[in-house]
Amino acid sequence: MEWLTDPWTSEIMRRAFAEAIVMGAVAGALGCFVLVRGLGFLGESVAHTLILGVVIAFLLGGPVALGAVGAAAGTVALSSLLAADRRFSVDVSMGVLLPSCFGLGVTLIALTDGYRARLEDTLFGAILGVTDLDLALAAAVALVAAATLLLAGKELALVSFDRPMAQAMGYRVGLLDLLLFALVTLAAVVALRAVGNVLLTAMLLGPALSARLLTRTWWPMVATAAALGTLAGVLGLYWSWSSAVGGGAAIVLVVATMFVLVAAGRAAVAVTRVAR
Amino acid sequence: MSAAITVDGLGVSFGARTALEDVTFAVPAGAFVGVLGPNGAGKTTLLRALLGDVAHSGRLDVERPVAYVPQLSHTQDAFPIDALGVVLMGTYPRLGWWRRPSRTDREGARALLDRVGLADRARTPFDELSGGQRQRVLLARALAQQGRVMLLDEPLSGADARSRELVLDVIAEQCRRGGTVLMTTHDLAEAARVCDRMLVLNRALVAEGSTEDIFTEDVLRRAYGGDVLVLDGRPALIDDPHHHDRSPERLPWSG
Amino acid sequence: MRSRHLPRRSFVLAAAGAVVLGLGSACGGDGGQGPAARTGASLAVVATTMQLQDFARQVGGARIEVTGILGPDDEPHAYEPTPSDAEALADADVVVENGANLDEWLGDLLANAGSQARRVTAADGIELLPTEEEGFPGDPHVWHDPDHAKAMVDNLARGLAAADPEGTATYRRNATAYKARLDRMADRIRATFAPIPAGRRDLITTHDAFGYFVRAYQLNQVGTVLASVSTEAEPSGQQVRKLVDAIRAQGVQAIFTEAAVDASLERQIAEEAGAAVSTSLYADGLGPPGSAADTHVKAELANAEAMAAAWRP
Repeated sequence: MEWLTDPWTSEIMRRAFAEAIVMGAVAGALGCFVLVRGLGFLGESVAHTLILGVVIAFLLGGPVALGAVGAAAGTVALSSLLAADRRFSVDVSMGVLLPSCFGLGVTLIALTDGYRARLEDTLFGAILGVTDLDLALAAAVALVAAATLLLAGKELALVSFDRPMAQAMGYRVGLLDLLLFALVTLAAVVALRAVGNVLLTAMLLGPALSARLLTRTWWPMVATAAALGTLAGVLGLYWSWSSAVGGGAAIVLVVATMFVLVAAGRAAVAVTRVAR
Repeated sequence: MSAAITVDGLGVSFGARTALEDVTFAVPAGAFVGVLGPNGAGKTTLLRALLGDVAHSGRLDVERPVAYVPQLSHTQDAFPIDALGVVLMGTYPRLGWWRRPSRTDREGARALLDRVGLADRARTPFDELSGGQRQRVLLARALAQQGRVMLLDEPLSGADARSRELVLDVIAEQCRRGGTVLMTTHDLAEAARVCDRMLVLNRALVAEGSTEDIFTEDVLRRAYGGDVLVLDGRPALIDDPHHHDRSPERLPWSG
Repeated sequence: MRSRHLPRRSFVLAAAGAVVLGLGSACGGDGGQGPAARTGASLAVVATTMQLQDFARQVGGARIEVTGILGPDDEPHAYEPTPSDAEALADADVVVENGANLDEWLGDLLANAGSQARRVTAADGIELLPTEEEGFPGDPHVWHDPDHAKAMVDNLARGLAAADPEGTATYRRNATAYKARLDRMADRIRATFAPIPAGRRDLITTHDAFGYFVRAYQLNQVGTVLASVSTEAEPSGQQVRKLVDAIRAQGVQAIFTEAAVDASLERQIAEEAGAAVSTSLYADGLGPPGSAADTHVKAELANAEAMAAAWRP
């Protein structure tokens, strides 16, 4: 049983596990919203805008994690300003803003001395080596997400399922959308640290996709996705502990494998049903 | 009896386009009102205004909450939810933040599904239901809102006979209990058959009243333009541009 | 040593480079000296690495104008040239490169710039240490060995003399003087390390650039695991574990990273292994002009001091 407990003897791994567990749950749960509303691009775009925040943080000599949060907050705020003009829905305005931020971020990187060293981190994550600040941020995001879902979960579900009806019922759907996007952005910030820019969307969508195949109704799907995300985080790190596969990459590979297994399992079940 | 719905000088514009102009009427509680008019007349806009969904001028007095059954559901197919779940969503505004539907709410929702003849479909995913079944679920959802006023947008168009009967049955029951129902339709014959009162819209309120008051040549011409044929002293609507396959209707005529 | 062939890094830098190209040459050639105005008959010399820029100034003196390409934070291995670099090369009389594939990007740039310059390869004739990095015939960081540095200076002097025969005597004189300074530098470095027992001279760096330094001054290079942990795309748990074990097993006192690198993982590895972290080595480049390590000699002395400080009991 030593292989089970071995990684936990390393402080670095313990912190990585903590980050992975929280990140997996948050990304899995909120990724469900991304999935059903067809907002895959949002996760991708948010990932890009975070680069800008990270670079600015580096330039100012501050912690990278705060830079990501700052960028996230900034773009959500800007998007809401844009969305106040009724011609733009929030997702359209974000869809325009965020890639621009990415371009700006990459430009800044090119102009910035000494930044390249950590570009890989931003692109591919560095779950090994997460700082106390990263962990605190992840915990805070998890708390905010949990509180929001407890308070307004059913309303967010309603607006995701039938936005016009939500509006007819008197809900301010624009604000609800913004709330959701803010949550997704926060989830992306946490996932960025763990698996990086490039793999972030996989972390948002993968567990949700698997959960969609395993559940029939909404909240079981959200819970399942959170559980799968966490499981992938833990399994991925175990894998990384005993191989040359990087931490974040291992986690995402587990996510992908999970999906393949679930999809294949469902197909097999369907085939045997037909055959009977 | 005070009016359940009072509208005074209601006007709605979308940019340069005037959708509704100076509409004034009152609907007493327990009434079943049919809202008629050609497409673009502003029927749906009127409903939206009553819901509080659009900016308007003039006065609007409606007893809230207002339940609503839209013509088409623009629901997200990717969202996993069953019929029961959809009905339960009708209770959300009542519950407020933080609270979740209770067991009583769930039992009530089941009863409503039963009411619309879908008791055995409670656990069926919404996107696996047929169009008619979906509409019935949305009707049940509207009932779950427990509004005194219910608005339905073209609930009878395209529905099969059974669904139509069911919808009318539910509406009748609502009115019996003192609820007020507004239904838009372009099925004049049916409206004449089932509604207590009618509103005829063509951007402005063309006429308001009972069947006899409405089905005059004058009213119909003003509402529908020139597509009115008078046969044996009875006006008939021909060539309704939205139902090309319909032959001229014989309209009921009292007396 | 950082891999030159990390495709993802190149892609992103290419994208960034495309943007920067659009922004023009104001941003190019960061830390190196800007294109200097040609004064009189001075030789226009372009040197790639900062060390070579330094050597060139020392040897060439007033007879040459040095334009540098790489700056304090540029990485020779994956450098993306800018238009102002091409401009400088087009006008150059002499181009000084390191060689051993360190400045592999230079070849295309010279061709594209239509440069007529004479090419001087500083590492010519120097026997390279083996390296595990792909794409390199050997470890190119030859300047860290003072004897190799002297050989580079000689190559430089010969090259400058070939381009400017009238200055031959000057170049030779300057070279000799500078080589003596290098000798004194080496003596000082040895003196710095002398009090430290051989068993404590364990060097773990983030960057496999100190092979020659280690050999020249009799230090111990404790593997290159840290390089993979810090500079590749992403470390694995196993790599981290092996490194921690290695550090503990060898009783290493300190891990060295380079300045300006976010060292949170290195710090945590050090902490877990019970070692200290020192963050002030100059591996590929020098410090910015005006800093305490803006020449090769100063940088090497600083390196030695940083190491010794970490190893002193």
